[in-house]
Amino acid sequence: MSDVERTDLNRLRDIIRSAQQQGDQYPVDPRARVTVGSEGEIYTGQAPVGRPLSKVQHGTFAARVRGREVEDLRWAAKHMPRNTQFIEHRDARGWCYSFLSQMGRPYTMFAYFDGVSYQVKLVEPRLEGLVGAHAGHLYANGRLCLSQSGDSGQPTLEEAYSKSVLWATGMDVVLAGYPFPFSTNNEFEYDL
Amino acid sequence: MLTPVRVADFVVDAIAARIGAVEPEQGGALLGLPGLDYVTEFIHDAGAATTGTRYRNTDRLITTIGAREAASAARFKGIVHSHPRGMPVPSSQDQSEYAESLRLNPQLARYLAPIVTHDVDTPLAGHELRLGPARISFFGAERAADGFVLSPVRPVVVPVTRMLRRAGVRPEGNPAAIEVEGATLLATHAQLPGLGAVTLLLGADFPATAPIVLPQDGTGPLALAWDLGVPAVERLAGAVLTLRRGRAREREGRDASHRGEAGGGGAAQAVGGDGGADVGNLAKAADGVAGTGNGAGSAAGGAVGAGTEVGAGSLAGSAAGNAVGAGNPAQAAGVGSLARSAAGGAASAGNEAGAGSLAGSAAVDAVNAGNPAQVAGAGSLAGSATGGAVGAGSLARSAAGGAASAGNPAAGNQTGAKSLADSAAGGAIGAGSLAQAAGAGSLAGSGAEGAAAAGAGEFPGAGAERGGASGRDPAALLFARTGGILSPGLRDRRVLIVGAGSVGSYMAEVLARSGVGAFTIVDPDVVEAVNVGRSAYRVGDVGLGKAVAAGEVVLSVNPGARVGAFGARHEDVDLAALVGDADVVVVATDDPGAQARVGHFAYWAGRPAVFPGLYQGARGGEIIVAAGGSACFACATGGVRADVQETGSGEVAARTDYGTGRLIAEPGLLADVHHVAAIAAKAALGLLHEPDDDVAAALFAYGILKAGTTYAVFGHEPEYWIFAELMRAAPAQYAYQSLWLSVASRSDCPVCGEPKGRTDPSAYQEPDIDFIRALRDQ
Ligand SMILES: [Zn+2]
Ligand SMILES: [Zn+2]
Repeated sequence: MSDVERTDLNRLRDIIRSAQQQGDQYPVDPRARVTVGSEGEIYTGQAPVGRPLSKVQHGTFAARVRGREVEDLRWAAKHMPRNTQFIEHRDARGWCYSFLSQMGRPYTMFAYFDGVSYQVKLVEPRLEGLVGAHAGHLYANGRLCLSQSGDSGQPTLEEAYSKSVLWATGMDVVLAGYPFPFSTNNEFEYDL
Repeated sequence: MLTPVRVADFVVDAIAARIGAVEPEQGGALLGLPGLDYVTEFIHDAGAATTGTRYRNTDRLITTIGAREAASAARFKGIVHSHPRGMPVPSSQDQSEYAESLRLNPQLARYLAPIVTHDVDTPLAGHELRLGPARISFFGAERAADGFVLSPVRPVVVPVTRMLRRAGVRPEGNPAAIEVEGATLLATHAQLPGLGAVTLLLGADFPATAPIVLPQDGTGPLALAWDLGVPAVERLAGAVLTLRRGRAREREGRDASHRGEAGGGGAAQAVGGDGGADVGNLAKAADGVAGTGNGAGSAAGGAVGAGTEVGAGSLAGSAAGNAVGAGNPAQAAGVGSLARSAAGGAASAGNEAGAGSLAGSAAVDAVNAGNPAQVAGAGSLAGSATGGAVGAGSLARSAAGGAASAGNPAAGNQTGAKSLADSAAGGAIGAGSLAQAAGAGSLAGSGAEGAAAAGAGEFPGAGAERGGASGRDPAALLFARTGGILSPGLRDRRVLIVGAGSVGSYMAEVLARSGVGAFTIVDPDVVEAVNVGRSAYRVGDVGLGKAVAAGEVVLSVNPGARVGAFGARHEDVDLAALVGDADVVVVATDDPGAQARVGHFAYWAGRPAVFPGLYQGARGGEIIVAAGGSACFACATGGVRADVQETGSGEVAARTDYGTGRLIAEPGLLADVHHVAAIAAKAALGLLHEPDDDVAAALFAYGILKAGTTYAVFGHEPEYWIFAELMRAAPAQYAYQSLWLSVASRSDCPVCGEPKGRTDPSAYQEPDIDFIRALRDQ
């Protein structure tokens, strides 16, 4: 992670919140946009070319279910962290991946399709039940609350992965004692 | 009133799988806890030579039973076997075998003889259960002067594995009967999420009392906060979560401000996605601080009377278990459990043995410990906000959690405890009054206990027979005023209602009054006093499971109706089966997870579904009609909600709590709720017909589908939301207003898109996070 320039959190927050205030979940203007790289790095503004990037849904963490990408496995191999492991088990089928957040904290997540949308569960660190679901957008059963509708999921693996990276950085901030920075529905907590 | 027999859910599952899923006849033995009517083991007689009409057990089965009896504390209880369709009763051949078995097993007070058939089309009676393709009809043979009497017995399913599963606990096999210091318990080794390997000991009265949890590292038993106000299937999950949360706090030494935040989120937040209720508030109790006042909705006074002769109670219901585990069963009496809402509920101290308790299960503990004399002061949980029903051995209507332990003869006779019945609650039943406890039978049968079993069977109410006996068909009379609008054929149709709150209970009532003959109602919650103002429920329903209470509303209108009530979350019922059995599905819950999931099952099974919902403050609402060819619920809401929101009209959808995904209760006028629900009811009634049925209701419902306007939004105030703008040109606009919208399916939608891209909801389940961790660790 050291070779990656850390993202300015304030800038990140401003981009996300401004997109949410404008109701623009996928801003066109690169300067108003956030993207996620294949090792959990976050880019604001112009992202480097020639790297696999994932678009981020800029809406509130609490979105629309739009359908399912079919070539998830192939996509994951290119766009998700190198350590990504596809777990195939009767009781759990999905992608387990780890990355370092912008603050350098390791996160491990599990993304899976629930029949309607893609969900992500936090594997490590073990925070479920410890961080309030509203404050941290994390349900007591370990599931991230990635959107307002579609039962908290995202329509594609791409959006679920990228949003989980954004979530992790938001959780860094929460663990540092501040409100979740990337959701307008946490806004009142900022005394704005 | 049928005598109850308790049957562990894994036994029922095993019978269904081994006997119910194959052609008759098949059979096997039932074993259970000694001296109790509690079946905890099934041994399949796989090698038996059977014909389509005859099962005769093998000698090997007899040997296996003997071996099991020698190796565990379990004792023979009877034989279960299957019959051909249409014969859900013991044959005369069976009966002569019962006589023989009673003769051969002198210790057996009652020989249990369930009959399994594949009769799934006829209504279930009180002694029957339905599981998958099987019907299990329970009978018992008891000795009598001239041989024996055979009578139906009522199965009370104990949700052991369901509770373990909800809590993420992975047991190493089914719990087996063991004896500890004179008490017989069910024991299993298991992995407890976040807490490691443990031995779990379940008393005969579990889930009314907490299990004993012994870490395998040899440290003392873990104290579980056992909240009887929580539906049984959720109770262990909540307790485990509380424990983990407490541990994590200790470990991380989080600062006070964080704790404050977490607590400040309140009870609603704590009702976790995986099931804990009020868990945040219970944390202290789990830490062993007895008598602590807890947060909102919990025992304010915390009065726990320590009896002189028995152990002190504590707010946490787990002390009982610990005492037993510590080898002193006598001390198990007097354990109180936290009555979530028994504010100021003075504990009723029993005279001799009685540590009072705000609620609880002490009675059964003591009985279980073989010392009925110590039974006193046991209260039943009053799950209601009106609180306070503390009566010995009482089976109050509101005794949701404690019901399993009530009605015990020993408890009833020994107690002299006073009951602090709160008449408003309609709850407490006089102390020691066995008759009354029994009187609550129809409720208990299908109500508290049944609901707790997460798979309550059908309860025909008093109704089916009564209606028949009087020689009149009430359903026919119900139709007197709907000729040409509705078809009498509705009596043969079944509606599945998921969610029995203000909308669901109203829907149940209206559909019953319209002549719909069969209902399946699913709701994990209990009626609280605050619900009464905005639902079909009455004060006397407070404390009763909503599913059962809604079922009673139906039966009070049409005693001939067939009602299946499931006091369980949508995850804990066999949705594929329930949806498959229904002609129309009504999704009347605000839990987005439930809406999406049930909607998916309905669409997949080709069952039309109606989704009524209210906006903030019931100032408006929506209904979505989803059926083959139309957009599914997810497509409809994903598109419309976002689009109408983007018109700049602001957020209208009701807020849901992040922790529960459930609606945040908001003030709202019942009339406004009903306005939306009434349209949903009309749509549902129509969809219960065939598209070409020549009645007005069918024309209405299928007209919606034909026009493609399957998403309706409603405004209840003149200037509300988008209506002011849209209706400006129309003269004389005032509340109520509605707008019917067309929504499109997305071709790539896994629910309603191109058929080849659709997913089978049964193929997906939510993975358990601890299970994923375990997989990674391998
Ligand atoms: Zn037979
Ligand atoms: Zn769809």
